Amino acid sequence: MISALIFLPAAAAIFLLFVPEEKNRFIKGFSLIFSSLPLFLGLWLLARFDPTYPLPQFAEVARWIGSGLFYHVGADGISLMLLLLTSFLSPLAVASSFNYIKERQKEYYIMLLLLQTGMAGVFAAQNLFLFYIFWEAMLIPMYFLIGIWGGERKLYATVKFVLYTMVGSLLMLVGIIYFWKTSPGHSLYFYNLYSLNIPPGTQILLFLAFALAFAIKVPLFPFHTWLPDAHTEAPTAGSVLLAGVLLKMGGYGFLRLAMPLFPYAFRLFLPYLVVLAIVSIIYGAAMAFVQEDAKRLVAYSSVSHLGVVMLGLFLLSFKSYMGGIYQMLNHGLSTGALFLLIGMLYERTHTRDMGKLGGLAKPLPALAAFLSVTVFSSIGLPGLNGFVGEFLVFLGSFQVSKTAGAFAALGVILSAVYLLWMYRRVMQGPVKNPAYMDLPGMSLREILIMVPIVILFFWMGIYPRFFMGKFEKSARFMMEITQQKYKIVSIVEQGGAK
Amino acid sequence: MGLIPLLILVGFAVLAIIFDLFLGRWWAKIFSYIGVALATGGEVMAWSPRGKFLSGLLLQDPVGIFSAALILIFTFIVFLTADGYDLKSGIREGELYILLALSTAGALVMVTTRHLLVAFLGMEILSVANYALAGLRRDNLSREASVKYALLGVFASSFFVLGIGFYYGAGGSLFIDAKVAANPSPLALGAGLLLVSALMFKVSLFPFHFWTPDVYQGSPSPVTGYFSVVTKIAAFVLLLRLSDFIIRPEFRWFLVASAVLSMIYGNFVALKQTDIKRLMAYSSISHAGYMALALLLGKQGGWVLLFYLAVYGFMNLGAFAVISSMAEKNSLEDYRGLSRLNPPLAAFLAFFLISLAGFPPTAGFLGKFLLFSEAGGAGYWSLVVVAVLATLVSVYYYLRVVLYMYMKQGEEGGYYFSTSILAMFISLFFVLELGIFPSTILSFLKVFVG
Repeated sequence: MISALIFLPAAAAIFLLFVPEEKNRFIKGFSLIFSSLPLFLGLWLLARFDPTYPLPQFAEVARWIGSGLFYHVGADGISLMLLLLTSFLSPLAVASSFNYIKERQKEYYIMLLLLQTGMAGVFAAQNLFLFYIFWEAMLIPMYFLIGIWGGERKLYATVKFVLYTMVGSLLMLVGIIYFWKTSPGHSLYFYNLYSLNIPPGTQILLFLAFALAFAIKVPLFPFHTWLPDAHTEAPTAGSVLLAGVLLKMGGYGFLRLAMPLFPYAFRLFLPYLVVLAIVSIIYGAAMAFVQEDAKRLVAYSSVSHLGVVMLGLFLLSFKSYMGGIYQMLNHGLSTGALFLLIGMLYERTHTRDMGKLGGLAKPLPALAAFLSVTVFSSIGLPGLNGFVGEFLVFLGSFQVSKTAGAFAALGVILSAVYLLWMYRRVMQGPVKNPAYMDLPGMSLREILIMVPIVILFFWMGIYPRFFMGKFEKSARFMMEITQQKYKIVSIVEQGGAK
Repeated sequence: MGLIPLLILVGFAVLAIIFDLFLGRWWAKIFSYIGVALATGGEVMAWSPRGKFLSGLLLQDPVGIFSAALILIFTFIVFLTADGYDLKSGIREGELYILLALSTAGALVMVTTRHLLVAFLGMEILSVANYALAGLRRDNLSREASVKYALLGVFASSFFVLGIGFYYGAGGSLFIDAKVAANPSPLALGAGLLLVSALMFKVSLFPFHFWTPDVYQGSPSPVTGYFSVVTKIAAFVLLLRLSDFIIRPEFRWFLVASAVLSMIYGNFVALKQTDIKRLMAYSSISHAGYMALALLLGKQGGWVLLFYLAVYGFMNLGAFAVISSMAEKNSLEDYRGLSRLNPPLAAFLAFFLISLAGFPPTAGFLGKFLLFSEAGGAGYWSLVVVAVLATLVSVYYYLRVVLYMYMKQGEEGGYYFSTSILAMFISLFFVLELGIFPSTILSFLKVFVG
């Protein structure tokens, strides 16, 4: 079932290869159907999911290449939520492109569908080899998406994106090879690897390789420089998936691999990682503050928000850990929605320069309403989803270290400042350009894209139990794997509890 | 039984020469095709009984049969590629096919012998045909390629002959066996150095790579594809048979240095190329560097070397099938906007380049993964890191071609494509097959070779 969820979009992409390019309407409808089918499969899995069991469920294992290189997919609570996020955002990304993409449509939808397969595969993979395959395979469609349908500096942005990601992931490949050669029975199954005893010196090297790959993806300062370019130049759907799903792979990689596999090295580098997360929060916010391009602003806000996520994960108190995971989902939704809305604005005004926009709430009331809800969700207004995640992270971090908690809270204040400021400059005040008075309002398609997201904002904000209950056990389990070996938590907590 | 594929190949090549002379080039083509196809069948049949024959001068062992079959399949793909090649450039079709068939016969001899003199014979058959093939285009670039290849090739051959002499001096026999390789005398060491250097020339490993870019650029595109694949297999298999020399401690550093420098030099110089055939030449140098990692493992590296050769062959020939369709317009500028002018062609080239760069789920990834794993497992971790970083560099230039094809605007019209879609499809099939369902061939190689 999970395999179908992963590979349906790819199968559809292969089918589309043989459809003549002129049949635009068919291509669009077909892609939309096949990118939303995984969502229904995912919901069906959710209904059958047993939240009391922490290990991966729905496992599908098949012999593949031999000597431990199995095909092995499955999902524990965390993976399942991220799979659902992927399957939820992908059809929205497809639908948001119907008018935006006018050239080479067939290739575009093929790439989107392939990307969806790659993303889902990363979260569902249960062994390192398969994880790496999806991790890398996903780069190619993204390379084309940014490079062909991107903005003015698309070539620079796409090459930078691929090379940055490759630097980290190729070193990670060396680490994977090491595991393959040393683990008993050549097994690369995650849960077998957790029990390995790796000598400390090796742990440090391997941790650096894995952490670099994931830190680039998250991205943690100072490995973030690819992100503003890639996000800004990518077409709307590309930005939505980049921010909504691809960045989560970094956090997911940390919590699934880098942290539990190398507890000793993680403990050793923890202070630096925490500092990097805090610097990301502040730096991202500060950079967002000075952007004129609305899309670039949201891109930098991602750096800041992901800093909060990573802080929550690194500090390893149960609350902050849960908050970090919840915040990954929140950030996927709210930043995805921000990019969608900015894309819709751009389709109308053909500029994202906030100096030229202004007063758009008058011609575009619906869009303004959606933007305000999204901004509030991103800031963390109580009652909306962002609040729950951020609050948990603060609560958890204050327990561990007051300083870290204070910095995390500072990030939220800053995010309120720049996001509200963006809202004011775009939507309020006098209409700067008289031509903007005649802008067409939101179409039914656009409203239908936004409504499910907003419903989730409220649902996840008002009744978080429904979602957290699904991954609570798995999160606790993963956290305990990370803690138990060397009792990391006690050391950190003693250090912070003064 | 073991001689039959060779006899078929040479027999049909001779027939092709005669018919080409009297009845026209069509016959040459047909006979060459039939010869290669039948020889492939013969090679498969030669699986049992295996063993030595002609008093041990030739032998059919799993390594030999597997690589011979690969060579024949690759030659077949090159034939199909040549079929779509632009013949306006003054190439006589008959000669192209006949020379390719004869060169392949030489390659078959090289991979199915343990006798150095017979190996030399095969190498010369291969090389002389190759020198002629390089010059087939009859323009100055092609002539230069031919002369350069011949002059430097003869140089390498003389190394090989001298090496044979030393070898006889050291061991009193011309059969390759472990005893001479382990012999501590300087004579044996010299023999190893000379023999291996000569073969490193053929596979274009640093520092014997200097001929590669010019020859690759000047030769007709299908022939370049042939050089980059078949010559490499033949010489690498011979290197594998000589690997007892390579794993000698006095010798190992030489190959380590050569592998590292090939990877670094090949990949970094490829960054600056604007001619796609020169780019592929440097890429082939770097791939030779990767494959040299397998040689360091001695006989245990055999299976992974053969697997990588197979993978490399299919993806490189696929790329050259596309390059051949461009009618010798080889500047990167000529590939501008190709994805609009000829979408299938661009998609094929992009696919093969992505495989060469080592992205999953193509065979290029699995080949690299297994190769690097074996090297790492044998303790060469620092080499693996170098190889991985070299791969990173290669991603840039492979994707740069894709960037030209997909992300830059081209001019409409003015292009002449003559495509051999079949060669591309066969290569595509095998690149996917070896990347996604490789277990059959891997277990075969592990059981019989590794």
